[in-house]
Amino acid sequence: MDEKDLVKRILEGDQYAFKELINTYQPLVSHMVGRLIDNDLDREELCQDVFIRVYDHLGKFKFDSKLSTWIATISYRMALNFLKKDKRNPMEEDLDHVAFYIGVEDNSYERDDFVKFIHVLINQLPISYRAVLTLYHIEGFSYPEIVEVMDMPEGTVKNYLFRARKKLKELSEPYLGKEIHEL
Amino acid sequence: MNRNQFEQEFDRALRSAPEFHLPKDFSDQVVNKIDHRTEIEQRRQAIFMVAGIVAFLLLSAICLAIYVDMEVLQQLMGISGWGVLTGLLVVAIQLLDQNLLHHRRARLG
Repeated sequence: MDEKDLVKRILEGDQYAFKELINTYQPLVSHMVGRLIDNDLDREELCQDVFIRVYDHLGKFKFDSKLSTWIATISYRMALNFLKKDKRNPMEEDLDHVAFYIGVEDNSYERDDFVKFIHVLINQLPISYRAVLTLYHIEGFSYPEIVEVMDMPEGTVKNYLFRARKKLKELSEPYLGKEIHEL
Repeated sequence: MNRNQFEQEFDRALRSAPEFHLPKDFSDQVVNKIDHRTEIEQRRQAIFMVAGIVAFLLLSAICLAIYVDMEVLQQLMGISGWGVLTGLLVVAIQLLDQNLLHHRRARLG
C-alpha cells in the first residue's frame, strides 16, 4: 500500500491503517527520540506523543514531502521542545565547548565495544549534531531532506556532519589500540 | 588496525541504531491513548452541553420571575403548550414514517 492510500484510510477512521503507519515509522521515531533524549521513560512517552501528533495533523499533510520526512520533522521538533522544557539537562549547542567524558582507560576495544563507545560519544554531542548523524547515517536521508527536517541551510548540515565525524574520530582513535596512531 | 579497517568500523558504528527499543504492543498503546483522549473529550463536551442547557433554563426562569408579570407568563405557558403539542406531533409523524414507509420499502426490497 502506498503512502496516499495509507493516509486516506487513516483519515477515514481505519485504526488498522494507523497501526500500520506506526509499525512502519516506529524505527525512525525511536531512533530520533532515542538519540536526542536520555531517559527511557521520557523516550517512550515522547514517541507516543509524536504519533498522536501525527494522527492529529495528518489531515494537514499535503504530500509536499515524503511521509518519513514529515514524521522525522515532528519527532525532531517535539524532542527539541521537550529538551527546552527539561531543566535536568541544559542544552549545549557549541561543539567546541563540550567536555567529552571518555570513561575508560583501557585502550583495546572489541568490535561491539567500539560501537557502544561511539554511541557514548555521540550522546555527548550537541543535539543538532546528533540529529544530523542519525538522519544521515541511520535513516539514510539526503541533504535536502535533512535541511527540511532541521530547518537549517544545507551548508550548515554538511558542516555539522563533517565536524561531528571529525570530532568522533579524534576522540576514538586513541582508544582503538596502538596501531591507530599510525593513522 | 589499519586506516581502512578503522574507517569501516567507524562507519559501522555510526550506522548502528541507538540501544532503545519500544515495547511490542507500542502501536496498541498509542491507539488506546488516542481512544482514551477521545472519550474524555466527548465526556467533557457532553458536560459542557448539559451545563449550558441548565444555565440557559435557569437564567430564563430567573428572567421570567423578575421581568414578566403573571398575565404574560400565562400567555407564555400557553405558547409552550402549543410547542409541546407540535413536538409530540413531529415525533408521532417520525414514528409513523419509520414504521409504515421505511419498513414497507425494506420489505419490498
